[in-house]
Amino acid sequence: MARILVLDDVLDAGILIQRILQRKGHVVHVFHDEDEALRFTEKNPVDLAILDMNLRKMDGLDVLAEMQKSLPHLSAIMLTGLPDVDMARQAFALGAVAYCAKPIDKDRLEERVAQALLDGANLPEQ
Amino acid sequence: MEERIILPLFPVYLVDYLGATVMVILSLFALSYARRLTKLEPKSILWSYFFWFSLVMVVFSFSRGVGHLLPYALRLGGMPQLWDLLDPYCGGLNTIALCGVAILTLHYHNTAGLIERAKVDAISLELANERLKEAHTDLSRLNQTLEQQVEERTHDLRLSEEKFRGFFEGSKDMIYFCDADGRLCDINESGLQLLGVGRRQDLLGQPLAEFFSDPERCAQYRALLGSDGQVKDFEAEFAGREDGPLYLMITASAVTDRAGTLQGYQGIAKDLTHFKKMMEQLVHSEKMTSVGQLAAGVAHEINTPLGIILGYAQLLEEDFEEQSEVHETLGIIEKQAKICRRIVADLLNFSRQTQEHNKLYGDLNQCLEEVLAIVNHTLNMDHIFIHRCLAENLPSTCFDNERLRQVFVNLLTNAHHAIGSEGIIGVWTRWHAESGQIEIIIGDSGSGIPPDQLGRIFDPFYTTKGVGKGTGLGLSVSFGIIQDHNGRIEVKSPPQEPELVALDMHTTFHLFLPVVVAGQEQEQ
Repeated sequence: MARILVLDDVLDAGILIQRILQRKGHVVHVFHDEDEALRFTEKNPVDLAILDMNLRKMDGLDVLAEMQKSLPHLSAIMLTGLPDVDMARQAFALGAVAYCAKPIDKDRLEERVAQALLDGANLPEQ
Repeated sequence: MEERIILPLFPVYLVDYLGATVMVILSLFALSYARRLTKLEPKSILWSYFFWFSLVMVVFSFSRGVGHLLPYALRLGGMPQLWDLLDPYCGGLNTIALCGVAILTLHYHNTAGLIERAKVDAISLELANERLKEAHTDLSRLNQTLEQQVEERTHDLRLSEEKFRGFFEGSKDMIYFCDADGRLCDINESGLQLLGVGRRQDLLGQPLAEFFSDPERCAQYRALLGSDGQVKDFEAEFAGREDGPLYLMITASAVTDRAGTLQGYQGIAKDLTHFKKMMEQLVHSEKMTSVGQLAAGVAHEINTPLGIILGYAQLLEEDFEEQSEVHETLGIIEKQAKICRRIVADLLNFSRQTQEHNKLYGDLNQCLEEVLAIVNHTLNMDHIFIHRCLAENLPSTCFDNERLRQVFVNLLTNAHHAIGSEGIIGVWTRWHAESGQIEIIIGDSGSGIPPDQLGRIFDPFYTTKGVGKGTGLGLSVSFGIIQDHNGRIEVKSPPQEPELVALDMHTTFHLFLPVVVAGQEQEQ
């Protein structure tokens, strides 16, 4: 079981991910506003963040960088409607574990999350 | 008594005697003087008149002298009666001499008049002669100028001829002359090359009309020439060449003589083939770009809601037992949503062709073989045989394996659809070392593409397949992918190459990809 934060400007899309991951036994917090999400991470520890790249006020990379200030080992999965090599490179540089094109398939999402949590769990041991 | 005064006669005799003598002397002197003058100027009429006049005067002075002196001498000599005998002769001689003087004077007076007239005539003749001389000088001068002028004109004419000949032969445009019937009577080298004719003789005498692809366009050309006497920037398509139609822009005019009778036509035709091709490509790529942008916008907007529909359908599916009606219904929603997702992905691919690169160094033959292995089974089911002719010397190059596979699948699927069942799909790869390009040909023995559709097949959403069978994006996506590889894609229906024709290929797609050596794409 992991604590997962989902941030998507389309709330329905966020809830979808929440539903899928809840079924896998994770605790999922959904936000559609980046400020609310940032306020949440300041006070609550999170294992994994699933962030949309194109948000209303900021882009996903800025949000990730901001969150990492309070949660330095936060791993993240980035979702995007417009895949871009440069953005992907930057995301990986920031410590994202996956960069996926939307719409992401249910199976693929589950797979990626499992992988990300596994990697994250391995990290402190290294 | 009567006294008679007798005056002596002596002074009278003396004067008479001396006078006669002096007269003879003077007349002789005058004669000798006249003679000298005559000798000096033998042709002078005046001097000869003087001479004769003096001569007659000598005769007269002698006869008179004799008449005056002889009586005294005879009287003194005592024979006065002899004088009575001579006296009439002497008087006659005097008269004759005086008559001679008169005749002479009259004669010479006449002669002088004649001479005067002759002189006038001579002067006028001389004047005329001088004028003639002047005229002659003028004439010869004129003649000389004329010769010079002719020489200059000839030189100018030669220069002009050289200039226009150079222009005619050196022009990169086709320059032609036709007779009044529209038959070619002269054409320059560029014209021969454009029309694809080797020898000028083969072309001369042929009607220009025969070269027009469209008889209607030819009729327009002739009608315009007939009514306006000229055509300007007239665009026409010429056929008859081996390497495709020739697009020309013709500017021509009718040639008439001074009376206005039609002599023929002269014209210049500019080759627009390359220009037209470029324009078509430009228009096409513009169209692709604008449609691509529109499609991308729409696709991106649809993507998110579509993902949500798909996701919830998948989620719901889990809530119901398999085999149940709701589960099946949700399965259908999921399937159709996935079809939509594929279309959207195609659209996004199409518009984002230059954004994603995953080019790796590899063997195109191998990539093709992999694709063929996948489609082989489906094709075999429809009794479609694959003919492969893959070049062994194909160099390795950098390419996006995934996306080129997509292109090959698209082209093979199209070939499959064109054939339906029972036929041949031909696959060739060739290495063009001289241009550094790899050519991949995928052809089919299917129905072929009608000429009016050839220009549109790469347009997005253009499809001849039934609803639900194709999105009309396969070829436009393929076009974009090949363009992204700096290559080009061409279609031939039917192909001209004997090798392709021999295999009964009705449509062939030719992909040209430049060979990219590893390292050139490093930044990717």
